[in-house]
Order: sequence, then structure tokens, then C-alpha cells
Amino acid sequence: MTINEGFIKEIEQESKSAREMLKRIPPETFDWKPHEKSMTMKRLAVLVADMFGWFQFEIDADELDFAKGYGMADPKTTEELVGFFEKRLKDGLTSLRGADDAKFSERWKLRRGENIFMETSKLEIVRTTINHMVHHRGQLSVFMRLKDIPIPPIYGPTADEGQM
Amino acid sequence: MSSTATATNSIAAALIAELENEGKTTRKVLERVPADKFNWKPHDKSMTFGGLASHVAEMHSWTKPTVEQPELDFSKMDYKPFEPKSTEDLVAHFEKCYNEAIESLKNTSDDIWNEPWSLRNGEQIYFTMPKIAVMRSMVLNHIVHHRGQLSVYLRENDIPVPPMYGPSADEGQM
Repeated sequence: MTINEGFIKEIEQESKSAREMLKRIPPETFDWKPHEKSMTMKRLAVLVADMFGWFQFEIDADELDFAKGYGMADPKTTEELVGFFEKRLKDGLTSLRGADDAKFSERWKLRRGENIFMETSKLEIVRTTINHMVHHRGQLSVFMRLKDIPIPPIYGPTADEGQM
Repeated sequence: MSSTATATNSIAAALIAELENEGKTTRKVLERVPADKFNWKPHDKSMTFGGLASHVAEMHSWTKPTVEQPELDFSKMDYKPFEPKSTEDLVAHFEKCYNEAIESLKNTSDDIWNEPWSLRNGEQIYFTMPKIAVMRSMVLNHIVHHRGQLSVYLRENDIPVPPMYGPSADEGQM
């Protein structure tokens, strides 16, 4: 199995629960947040929806420079949120499909102009991005619970759905 | 990175490096879970703070049966969730499970990862997947998932959230 094949399989698998969760987030809850320091439900959901699109600039570019701006989607409805997720997932998978094993040894940087936050291999940044997405999707599951939105099975049944 | 990395256990070496890297964050999160909040939960249907934290710590110990066995059968187990008495107790249990995970990965040949692995309860098989997919998803990503939930529990209790994949609203900067 090539490196990208392993990643693609995993991303497709992890996408299933993310999609199922995003489909359940009603716009009435978009501005809600559990704590004054927390992200709003919308901001967190948009982040989760966006992240699998990051593979695009991780594979096709050699850096992300915040100084050049980074626009986030501003969905008004659940359908727009899910549509954004599907688009970003497709973007990310398209870039990964085009990456041969040598691509993953190339270097990649996160920076804001002169200030370099991170420099690593493309292999490492893709790996970290998957974990990072799983992290925020986990947070989103607590936000959903607090708004009494049933949580779909993620790695196993939840208190709402699924069984073993 | 494992010093035992060779051409034939490069997968294990990468998994160890990832466990070590994520382990730094996990340790910081667990160190901040206060014992007097172990019974707190954010919602009726949620796990308690102590229960969720113990689950994150214990999940590391799923590595050993994933590597060394072809299956895990709940019907043959006498599982009792770990119940920490203190934060120190919780962190010590994490260290134990974490070290055991790294030990069992060391010198694990790349050949094993495509072998099928099943989760079952007697006759009932929940799933059969290659060992690499079990390790990747049911162990590593699963830990990150519940640790993410734990970060919301910290926030809800006004406990500073450590930087995780970047700064939090409490700590770190870019």
C-alpha cells in the first residue's frame, strides 16, 4: 500500500462520523457556545468541516502563510455546512490521490510572514491534521450533547445511538 | 523516536513517535483533572470527568492486545474500569498504560500489521479489520477523540486548557 492509500482509507473512514455529526447541527445552535472562551458551535463545526481540505495546501504547496489571509466559510444553514464539508473533503482527497510516496518526504512550513511556527515533513503534517480533526470533532460531540443533539456512533456506540 | 527502528519495524517506529508526541499533550491534560471534580459531568448522558479521563489513560493499554493477539473477546475478560483516587493516581495509571503500549510496539515487525484482528463478545463479532487499522483508528484516533472531549470538560470547569495542536484560548501563542 502506498502512503497516500493508507491515508485516504483512514480519512474516508473518519469522514463518516464527521458527516453524520455535521448533518445534525441546526442553525439555531450556530451562535451558541458552552463557555465565554469557547468557540461557537458554528466556528467549531466549520473548522471540523474545513480540516480535511487542508491536505490541499499541505500536499500541493510547501507552506501556509497566515499573513496572506485565510478565509473561513460562513454557512447559514446545515445544508451549507455539510456542502462545505463535502467540498473540502473532495479538495483534500484530490490532492492526496496525486501524491506519490516521495511527496511525503518534502518539507512543509506554517508561518505568518517572517515568523515560522512549524517546519516539518509533509508526512508529519498530514498525520497531525487527521489527529487535529479528530480532536475538534471530539469537542464538537460534547457541544452537541450539551444542546441535546443525539450523537451518532463514532468509535463505538454513544449514549444516544448504536449498540454493542 | 525509538532507537530500535530498523527497516523491518518502521511502522512501529512511526507509531511510537506519534504516541510519544501525542502523549506529551495527554499527560498535560490529565495532570489538570482535579480529583474533586471526578464525579462532575456536563450532561446527564455524559461520562463523568474522572471516568472520561480514566478512559483516555486506559485506552493506551489496548495497544498490547492489538499487537500480540488476533482478537479481543469481551466474554473472556473481567474488565473493571480504573477508578483513580487522585490526580496523581490517574497520571500514574496513564504512565503505566502508555509505557506498556510503547514496550509492546518495540520490535514489532511490519509484517503483522496486515493480519486480521477482531473485536468480539463470544459468538458476536463486532468487527474484523487489519491490525494497522485497529491501531490507527480504535486506539490512536480514539484517544485523541476522547482527549478532545476532555478539553471541553476542562474549559467548562474554568481549568486552563493547555496548547494542543496550537494555542488554546488560555495558553500558547502563534
